[in-house]
Amino acid sequence: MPEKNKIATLAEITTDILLAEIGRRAKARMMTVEQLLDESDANWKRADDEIEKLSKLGHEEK
Amino acid sequence: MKKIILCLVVICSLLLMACPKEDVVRKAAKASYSLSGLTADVAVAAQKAYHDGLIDVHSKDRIAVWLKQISKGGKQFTALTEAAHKSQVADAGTINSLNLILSTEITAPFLEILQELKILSKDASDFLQTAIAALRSAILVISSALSTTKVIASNRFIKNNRFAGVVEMRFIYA
Repeated sequence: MPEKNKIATLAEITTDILLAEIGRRAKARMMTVEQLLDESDANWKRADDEIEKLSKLGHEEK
Repeated sequence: MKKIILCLVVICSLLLMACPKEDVVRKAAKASYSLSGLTADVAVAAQKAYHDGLIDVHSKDRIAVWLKQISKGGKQFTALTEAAHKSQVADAGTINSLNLILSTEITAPFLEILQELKILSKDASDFLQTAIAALRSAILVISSALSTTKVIASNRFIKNNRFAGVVEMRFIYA
């Protein structure tokens, strides 16, 4: 991938993460503590699944 | 008309002032929600970055290790917050534990990941550098939500005050 496109993709990825965080903060204002903790548990589970996929990438042949 | 506008402004100001200051448990719950979401998003983003050839397998593996560390610390943080919420008490010990996990197990690895991205993009555009700096700021703001400065000052005050029980309760829900 040309260098210019790589930079654009990385910038897009980083911006997407920031926008998702802004959305979460807006949502969090209207949530109760119980809801925040339940959503945290669900997010940690999703994170573990994605981290597992990330770990396996590039090592499938082994 | 001017009087109506003035009344509306006064009412709005009162409503804003009447909002109670967030307690420690709610702050910790919000931090947990943000950080868990960020961790999942960064894991997905790292997969995309690898697929698009932005990072090699070694960078990818380093990021995966840091994310595992964040996930482990994050789940401890959430569990501790949950326990504090159920017991309805967030004493100085609990707050210190939360802060320790937040800074060493969660924030530090996140900053390592950002540093990895920054190194990769060292010749990159200002926009990308700004985006990474903004993400770094967001993580640092989350981690400062449970600042220990107040706890240390309050501990000293509580020890010296004969109405320690009352003061402690006021501190917890301040």
